[in-house]
Amino acid sequence: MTGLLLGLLVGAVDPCTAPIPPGEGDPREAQLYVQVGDAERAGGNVGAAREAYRAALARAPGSLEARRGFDAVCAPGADPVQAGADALENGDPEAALRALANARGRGNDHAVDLLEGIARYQLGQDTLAVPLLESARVDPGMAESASFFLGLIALRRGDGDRASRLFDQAGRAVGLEDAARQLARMAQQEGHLVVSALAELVYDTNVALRPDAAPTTLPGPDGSAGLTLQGLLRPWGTPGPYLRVEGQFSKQFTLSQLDLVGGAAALGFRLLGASGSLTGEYAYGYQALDGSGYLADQRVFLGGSLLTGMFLWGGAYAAHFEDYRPEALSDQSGVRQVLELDAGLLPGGGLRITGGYAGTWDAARVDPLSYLEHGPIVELVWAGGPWTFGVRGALAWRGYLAPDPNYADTTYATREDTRYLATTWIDVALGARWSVRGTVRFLRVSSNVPDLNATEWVFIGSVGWTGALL
Amino acid sequence: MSPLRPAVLALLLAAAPPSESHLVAGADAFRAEAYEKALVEFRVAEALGSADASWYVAASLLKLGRAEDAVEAFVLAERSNRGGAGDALLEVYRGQACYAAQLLVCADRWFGSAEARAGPRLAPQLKALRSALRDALRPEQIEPAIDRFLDRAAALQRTRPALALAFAEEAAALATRSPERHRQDEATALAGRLVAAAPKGGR
Repeated sequence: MTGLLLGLLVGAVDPCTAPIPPGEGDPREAQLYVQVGDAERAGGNVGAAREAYRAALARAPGSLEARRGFDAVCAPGADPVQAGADALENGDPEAALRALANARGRGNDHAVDLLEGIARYQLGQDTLAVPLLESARVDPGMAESASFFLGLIALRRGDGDRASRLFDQAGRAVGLEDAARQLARMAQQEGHLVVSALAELVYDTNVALRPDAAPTTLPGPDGSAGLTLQGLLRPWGTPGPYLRVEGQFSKQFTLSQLDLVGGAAALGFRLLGASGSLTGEYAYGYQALDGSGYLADQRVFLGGSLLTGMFLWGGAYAAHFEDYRPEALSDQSGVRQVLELDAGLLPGGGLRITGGYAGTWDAARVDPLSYLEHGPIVELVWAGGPWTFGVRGALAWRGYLAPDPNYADTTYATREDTRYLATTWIDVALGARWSVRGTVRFLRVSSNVPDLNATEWVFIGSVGWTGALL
Repeated sequence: MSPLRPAVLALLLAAAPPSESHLVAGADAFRAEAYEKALVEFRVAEALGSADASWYVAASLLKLGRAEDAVEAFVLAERSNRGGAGDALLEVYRGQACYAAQLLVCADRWFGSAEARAGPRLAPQLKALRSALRDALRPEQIEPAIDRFLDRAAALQRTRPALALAFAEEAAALATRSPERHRQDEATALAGRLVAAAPKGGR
């Protein structure tokens, strides 16, 4: 993104690399241009000096003075503004600040303000970045780019409304529309009080994960309609503490015993830096099926991400203290811990490719229901304009700790499953608040107990609304 | 274009002073917002003796964000006593240069001069701008500003006397608004010396 903005800032034509048309103008005037170039160069005005030497070379291609001057002002590092822009593009904001330290007063101070503002933003020095970006915003040629970064800062502070307005302004720049539109959406999710609603229609070919060979009298395919409501309160924006409350309702079309009512509340804290974030959270959730208590889940979560150049490193850990309420399921109660580590590549063009490894350790009350599961994951997400497309695949090897007495008569009494999961989705944003999503999910369980092999397809269509109330 | 047109144009340019084609090229670049190119062409036109080029050099410097260079160039253009003096648009540019260099009295002076000559669209904007300038000049800021401008003027009087003059004049003008007439004599004397020592034209 920074590269795109710098491209907009620096402009399409680089006088150092653009071909010099020979034989243009009066050769006798070449010396005058050289003198102008020398004077501008002596004053540190590299841009004007380049133009002057170019004009001299166009008139007298063989002029050694013009060539020498041109080469000097086009040498790497000769232009502090360009050097600053290059350093930013290379992901080194501190080097950019060093390059820009003496760049003011030589022309284009607003460009220096913009670049320094971006560098300060990237270093997490928002207080210093804001006045610089505000100064750059005065210049019509840089207003959109400056607004974009001011919007990011507002977003980081949790001021979703201001961020939204700034992204609207940024969206006027050619090349920034897509990013600004997506960020305007994000801004709507970054207010102090954000509410969201998600309505969905689901068709599941195998609601209860019935084994392939099971009698058809067991629950099979069914559809459902669901609604999820969520409120998120961040009194001091981000970074800072937050409270999240969620309600979930799902009505099956035929299998009413799986009708779900659930609720959860979470209290957490999010730290946010220039290139990383860390979230810690405690949550309590309760679900009821068909009006009867099903699962109480206390969860402790810690997750974070770190951006270094083109790579986004992520890690998340959660411990679920699960209590299954029906007596028949009580043996499944216990502690389930999940750890995922991943690395994402951001090659540009709205693409993110992530690879990682995930593991689950479920310590149920009884060993035959306790298992260790682990395996690789891969995800590809592309976002362009209002569209987001994603596909995720995971392979998980699950081994249970002890033989299951239910299958004591089989050769492979200790159950070992291989689980294949694939999900793909497409999401289209309808303005800043509404979105529509289509999701297809596939799960295949391949077990050493052949009776437990199962396949499930899930098709979901959803409409979501998210808005910042404060 | 008729086949005769290039020949007529060539004849006209041949008859015009040598600086004219550079002035035209500079104006074209200025309109295209290629201000570095415009500056170079106006500098060359200036070197070839154009009467107007110095003013446009100053305007180009302003557009390049080189506010102090622009203020200095306007002073030098005025000293050369040629060309664009009295042009409302150039006075607006000069006021903008002063404003960007934080010379608020100077900015007010040139916006005021331009307002007197401006058309019905520009005049109200200039009036509003001047009103905002007056509001921006708070009494408690006057004396520190005088000190700052006199320091700058003293530091620049040998190397860039035209810019030093702009600072000294600003200090002198601010001193008249200071209840204590803070350093007024000093500022007036320095400005007077810089005016007296000023060569005609050139930098």
